[in-house]
Amino acid sequence: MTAPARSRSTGLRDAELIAAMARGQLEALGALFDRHEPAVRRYFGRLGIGRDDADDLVQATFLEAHRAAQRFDDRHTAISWLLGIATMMARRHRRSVGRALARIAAWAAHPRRDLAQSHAPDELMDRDRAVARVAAALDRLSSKKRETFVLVALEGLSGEQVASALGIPVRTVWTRLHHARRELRALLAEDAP
Amino acid sequence: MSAPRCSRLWQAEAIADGRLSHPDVAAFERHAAGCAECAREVSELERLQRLTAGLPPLHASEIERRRQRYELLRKANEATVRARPARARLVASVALGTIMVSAASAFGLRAAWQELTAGEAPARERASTNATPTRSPKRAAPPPSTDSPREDSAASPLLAPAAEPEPERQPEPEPEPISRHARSKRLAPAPSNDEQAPRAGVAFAKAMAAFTAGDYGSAQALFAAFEREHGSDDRVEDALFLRAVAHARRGDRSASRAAATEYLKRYPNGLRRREAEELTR
Repeated sequence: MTAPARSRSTGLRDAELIAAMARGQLEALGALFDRHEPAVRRYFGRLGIGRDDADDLVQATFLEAHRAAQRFDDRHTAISWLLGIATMMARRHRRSVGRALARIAAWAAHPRRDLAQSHAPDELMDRDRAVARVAAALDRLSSKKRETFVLVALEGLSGEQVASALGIPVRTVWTRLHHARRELRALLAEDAP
Repeated sequence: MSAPRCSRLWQAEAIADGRLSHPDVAAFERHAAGCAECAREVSELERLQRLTAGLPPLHASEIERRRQRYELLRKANEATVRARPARARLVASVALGTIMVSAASAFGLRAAWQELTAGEAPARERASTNATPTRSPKRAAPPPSTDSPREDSAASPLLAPAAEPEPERQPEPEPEPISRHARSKRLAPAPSNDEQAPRAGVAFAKAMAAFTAGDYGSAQALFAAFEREHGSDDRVEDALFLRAVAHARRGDRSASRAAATEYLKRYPNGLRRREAEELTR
């Protein structure tokens, strides 16, 4: 008997699945979702997006992938293509959140919300505190540096893949990555407050 | 942080980026073995990698994931219906049919049931990803459950024979996909049907089960009985159409034509109008 987990994916390669999606086959979209949803969701988490918003953005990403399947370029890998779409979705999301926050800030002083501040530090276990500190450091990065850092260092994409996913030169990828690392290292240095 | 002094310090990060060739990596490693500054740089980069990669990942539970998958395919189908020409729509509808059925069986039912029937899982999974819609009705049919029949009636590939055909990729013309929202609204029983509804549901499910199993003789009789006994139920429209299909599948052209003609007369703007028109030819 075949294990269900294995039989879920068709034997098709990603590019074939996307070609099938372009022909309107919804089961190909389902298979692509099964294969890559965890990575896309994890990516949103690493960009600092909360669980509920991530739900919406995962949906939006795969819907857009379905819509844009005909334009898929075989030189991409499916995951870099999907994470590129996900990045656009996250940016759009940030813009709308930014507008909402700006409205709130207009009538109330609204402190920047990040993980470190949303919990009472004293109650956190050491490990939680360390996690919160890393999350807060990532939150301090500009979104472009954060995207680049997450895609290369955490999601394991190559510089070329990120460049084509984000539509920027490879040199820019390395520059952003370098600055992201430098800022993170300063924020997370052993003796940093 | 102090300013870098060793001229090769940058290579530590280049290696972390994956943009240094193999010989260069080896050369740097030999160098770092004797250069405290570079060795510290490497270990700091590793620490940063460890810390950031160690953040708890966002992930969805299996149930939540399945719900999302179902939602995604429903939305994608709606988008397809809006955007595509008729022929592509038919293909998409078949695909959605097979997916909806398997999603209903996977998501709508309890985990306990899934465990009990774990042996069937591969067949179900195959059905959900198989590109050949005509193979799916039997395999993907959900087990009897109180909530599934109505959903399935909207999603089943209707014109495809239930007997297993060759696993070829050419789908047959299929009913136009209907937005499930629109349809469930449309099919919601009228308040006056409240007492009748459970019995009608059972009767419809029985007929549907016969239809899905390929027993078209029983199916057409059961649909006919449903039309007689639950005349005010909204599903009569489905029953009448499915009866026409069942006749056609049995090879009874004249009975099929008669049922389809009756359907068109009673539901000139019905959801199955186009397929019914085909059956009258």
